[in-house]
Amino acid sequence: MNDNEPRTLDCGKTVEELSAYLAAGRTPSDPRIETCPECLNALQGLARVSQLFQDLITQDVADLPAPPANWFQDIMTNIHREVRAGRSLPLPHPDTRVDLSVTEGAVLALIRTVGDTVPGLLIGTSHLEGNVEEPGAPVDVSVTASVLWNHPIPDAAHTLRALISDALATHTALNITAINITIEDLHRETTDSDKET
Amino acid sequence: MGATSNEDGHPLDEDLLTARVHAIDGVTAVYPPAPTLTQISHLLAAVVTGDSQRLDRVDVRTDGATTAITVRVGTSIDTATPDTATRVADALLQHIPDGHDSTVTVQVSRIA
Repeated sequence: MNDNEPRTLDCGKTVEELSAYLAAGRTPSDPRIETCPECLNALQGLARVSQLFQDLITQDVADLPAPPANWFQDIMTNIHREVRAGRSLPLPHPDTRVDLSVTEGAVLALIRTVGDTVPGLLIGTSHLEGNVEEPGAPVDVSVTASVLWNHPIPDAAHTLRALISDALATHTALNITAINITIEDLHRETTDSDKET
Repeated sequence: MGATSNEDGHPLDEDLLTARVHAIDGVTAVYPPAPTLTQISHLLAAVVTGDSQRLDRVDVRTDGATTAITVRVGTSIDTATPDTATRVADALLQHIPDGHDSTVTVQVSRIA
């Protein structure tokens, strides 16, 4: 996918449309968006990225290199990929008439949500690797993230791994065999002097 | 294949089932059953009336002697999703008349 190609969700909305809707303060309210779980997951991610982008513009002008030109587009693409419903992850139920599942998109959005609670850490991408539609099959989780300057990377990675492990154990029936975390970027934290300049 | 009649008090009435699912602990939202043009009539009603709950509903469809009940829900991050989904399915199963050939599909589309 190139940067000019619309990123269309399963419901037909594009990430670009959702970004514009968010920028307009979600008004007038669009029931097609506000009742769509994929759109709501995307809006949640876009809101965080928007805030992050504004923060980094402020932070990085001092003496760190600016983010790569395609950085924002990459994150938009990642959100598009993650919020699509994707595969169905089965949940157990003893009655054969019942089919319970959680969407892959919901789980990836969950990983992004718990990752955002780690101080100084921002989720980049996340993947579920393995046959997630087969109950009991081994599944690896791969996550990339960036860490703010002055936050110890081992501590942040350890906390993130524990939170993801707990979240997946609580909300899915996946057989998680590994959680691989790669810290790809460091960003300098905002200081009072940055804000004044 | 089409939706069952929605007469008041029918055990498979979509509005009744939707209200039942909304009341379940851990359920934060009920979403439209499918993001497709098959929802166009409900979408138009929601746009005209401003009532998005016309979209957010349990879907009941019959095909001969078989009934398929489908619902997409959002669940609370503070409650175990498998437990919430099980409660939703069990609640819907209770509404199936004895001897009725039905299936219940519960998909969790958002955890927040």
